[in-house]
Amino acid sequence: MTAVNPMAATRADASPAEAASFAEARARLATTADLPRVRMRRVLTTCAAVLVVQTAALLATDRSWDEVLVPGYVILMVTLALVFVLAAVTVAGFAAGAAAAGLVVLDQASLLPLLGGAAALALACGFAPGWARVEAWQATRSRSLTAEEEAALAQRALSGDRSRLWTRGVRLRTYWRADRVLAAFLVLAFHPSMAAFSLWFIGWTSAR
Amino acid sequence: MTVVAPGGASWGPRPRRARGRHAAPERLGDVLVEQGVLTPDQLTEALEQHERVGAPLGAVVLAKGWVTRRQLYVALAEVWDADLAFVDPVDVDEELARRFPAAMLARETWLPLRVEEDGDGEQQVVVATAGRPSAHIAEEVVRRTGIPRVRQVVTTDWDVQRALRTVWRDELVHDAVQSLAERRPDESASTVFVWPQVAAAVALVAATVTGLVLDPSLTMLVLVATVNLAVALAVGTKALISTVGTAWETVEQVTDDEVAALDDADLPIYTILVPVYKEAGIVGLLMRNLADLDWPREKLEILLLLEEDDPETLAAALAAAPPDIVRIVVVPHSLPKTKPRACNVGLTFARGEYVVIYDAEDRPDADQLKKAVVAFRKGGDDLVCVQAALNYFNARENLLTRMFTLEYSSWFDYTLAGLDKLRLPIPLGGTSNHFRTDLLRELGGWDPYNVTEDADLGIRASARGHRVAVVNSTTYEEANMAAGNWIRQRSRWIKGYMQTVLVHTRHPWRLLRSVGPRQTAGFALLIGGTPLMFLATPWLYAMLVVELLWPGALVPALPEWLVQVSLANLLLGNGVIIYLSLLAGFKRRAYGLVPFALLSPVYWLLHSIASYKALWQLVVNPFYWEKTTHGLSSHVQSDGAPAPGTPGSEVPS
Repeated sequence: MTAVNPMAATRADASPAEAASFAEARARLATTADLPRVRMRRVLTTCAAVLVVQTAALLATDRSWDEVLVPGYVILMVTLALVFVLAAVTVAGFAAGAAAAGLVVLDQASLLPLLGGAAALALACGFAPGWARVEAWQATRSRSLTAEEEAALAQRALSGDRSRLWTRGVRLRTYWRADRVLAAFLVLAFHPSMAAFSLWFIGWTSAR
Repeated sequence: MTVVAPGGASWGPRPRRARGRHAAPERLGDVLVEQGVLTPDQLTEALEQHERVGAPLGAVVLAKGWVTRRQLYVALAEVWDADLAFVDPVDVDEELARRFPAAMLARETWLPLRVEEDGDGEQQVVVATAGRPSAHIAEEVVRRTGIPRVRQVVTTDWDVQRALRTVWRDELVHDAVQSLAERRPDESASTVFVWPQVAAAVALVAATVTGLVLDPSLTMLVLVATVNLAVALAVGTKALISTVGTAWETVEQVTDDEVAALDDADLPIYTILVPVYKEAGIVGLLMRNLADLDWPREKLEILLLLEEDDPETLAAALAAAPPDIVRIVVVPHSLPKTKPRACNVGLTFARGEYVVIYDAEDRPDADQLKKAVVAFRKGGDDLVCVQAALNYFNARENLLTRMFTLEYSSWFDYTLAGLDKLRLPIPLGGTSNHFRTDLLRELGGWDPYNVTEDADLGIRASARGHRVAVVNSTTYEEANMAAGNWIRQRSRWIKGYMQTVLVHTRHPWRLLRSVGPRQTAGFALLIGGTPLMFLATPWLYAMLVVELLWPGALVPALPEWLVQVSLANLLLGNGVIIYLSLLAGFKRRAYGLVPFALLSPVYWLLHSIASYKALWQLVVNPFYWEKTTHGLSSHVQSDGAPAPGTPGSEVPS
């Protein structure tokens, strides 16, 4: 007998017992799944150290503030984008986007290449196992019920028995998720788009 | 059983035999078996369960449904060697009753019945108790009546509570409604505006009018600049707090291992309050929703709080014959008719060490009670409340439910987590807030005059030196899916925020001293800033429209830099709103909702409509509880609940 592959999809016509079996397997996987832990403190400390050295070096060579800020933004953007893609740390994506917005504000990068880069990173998020691990970890911790699960739950009565594990028929997924790609793109692209729009809007209103 | 208090008193019959630690349960079990109520096998199983969970044997056999409450108390009366009485409220001597506070009797589950003459012609007080007759009861009776002889009879806990609700009705209602207002009027919203606030408002309006007459440009500048500054600070604060919360998105306050390490025998009694109004058939739904709670049934007490003027729900609840852990408490009619008033009555009867509020439609995570207990044990003595996250089970039902879910996810998953990390005051959410019962009573319970009593309680707890924390567990609710219904609900919430700000800023220096400057600023900007932000948004939009349609039209009245700042503020504010909503989809990996975050500015305009309604109501009808209709979701209807339009389908809360 072949062991249940918890990453496989449940058949649409699966029996309740089969669905429950998949759900339990998935729950076990999620419970034991290791989160892609990134020591954010270490990342941020390293970034800060590099930025301090870089800023000091550039200021010492009489560079303008724009020239000082640009490499700083690039360092932050690249580092935090990698953390976002590889370790699925949401806030890193927003910070990477904010750094990209800094480049737009300084007029050191145009929007389209940045959006292209965001799209490429978002596609990488679509495949990245780190995201799947976080999702699997999250799945057993809190997830709303589907209508079918609710219907199954509705047939249960309050009794003396307790279930320690609330098996909720966790939906099985492969690593790839298109909705994750779109969401990641929005996160990465929002800040530079917002900055570009704001600059355009201010210019437009003052030019009228 | 006649007990005479110390100092002249006799103590009734001695126990018929020496009893060890486990003697009473065994004796009770023997009696139940002798009476043919319990089989020997059931007794063996019940004793094992009694050892395992540490609950009294009576609670075990009741939870298993093997005995009725009446059968149990018949046996207990025999074990305790006392007479049994089934108490009819009309039998209670009201004059005698007035000497005893209802709250104490409810906590200790006994009540005085009458004064009678014993066989020696001496006066004695007859007391009915649902617990073992005790010296404490006798002493209390003697202290309050001066009569040294006390006869204690056994009755069921339900009889005690029924009599309390009937005979002590006025006192219960008064305590539920007026307790906070009388004990700590400064903390009650029963007075909407205090005179310094009225004076400040009048002075502000007078100064504005005078300024507009004398120097309109300067006055407008000051007004618009102030509003912009306040909005920018409020938006910035919310963004900062939520971002801090985001950084801890995979941190668990309580781990599965900590939950697994709990021993059932060490768990306390937990009380669940479920306030319900006009919802027939709610008991079935409630049972299903709470069926999977991982907590010994013997240590669970569910109080279903029904209103006196809602006989349909009461009849339906009785007809559903709920299991013994569910107790129906009929809340006497009074005004204001609000959920906190019902909860205060429930709190009077709560016997649990901890208490939590759920709506009947709520679906809490199975391990939520255990996580809350772990959080309390880790949190220290000043931790008064643990708030679980709320989210929606019908998120994808329509556009409004999607937006609502994003907003709730942002609030509960990130903003509250950020507040917790920054140790700022946490406004509690509507349900799933777990309390230490004794501290909650000490705080005065919920304010029945505040229409967001939960948010107010969170702030009050902080102001009194207690702490509120969040726990990584979720309760799923039904998202509001109709715009009109949503505006009604939201206007109540915003009005409640306004009430809360008015209450807690009556003595700003006192607040500053008690919670500190950082916490005061957090409270002012988050709780005060939120309604302000909603109220200001339409004006900022109006400036945008005017500036777009008639460029420069505002410049004669306002300096150009201020117009630009206002537009930038609007842009930035909307950017932050979208940013927070974009974040919201990630905690629960609900990526399908994330693109809808781009519609947040439109959704937030609905808040502005609700905020003006709230402001109007704050002045003309401050305590009015805008009713929200539940049960509209197809997810709820498929459970067998009545469909909308049928009697009892609309559930105000």
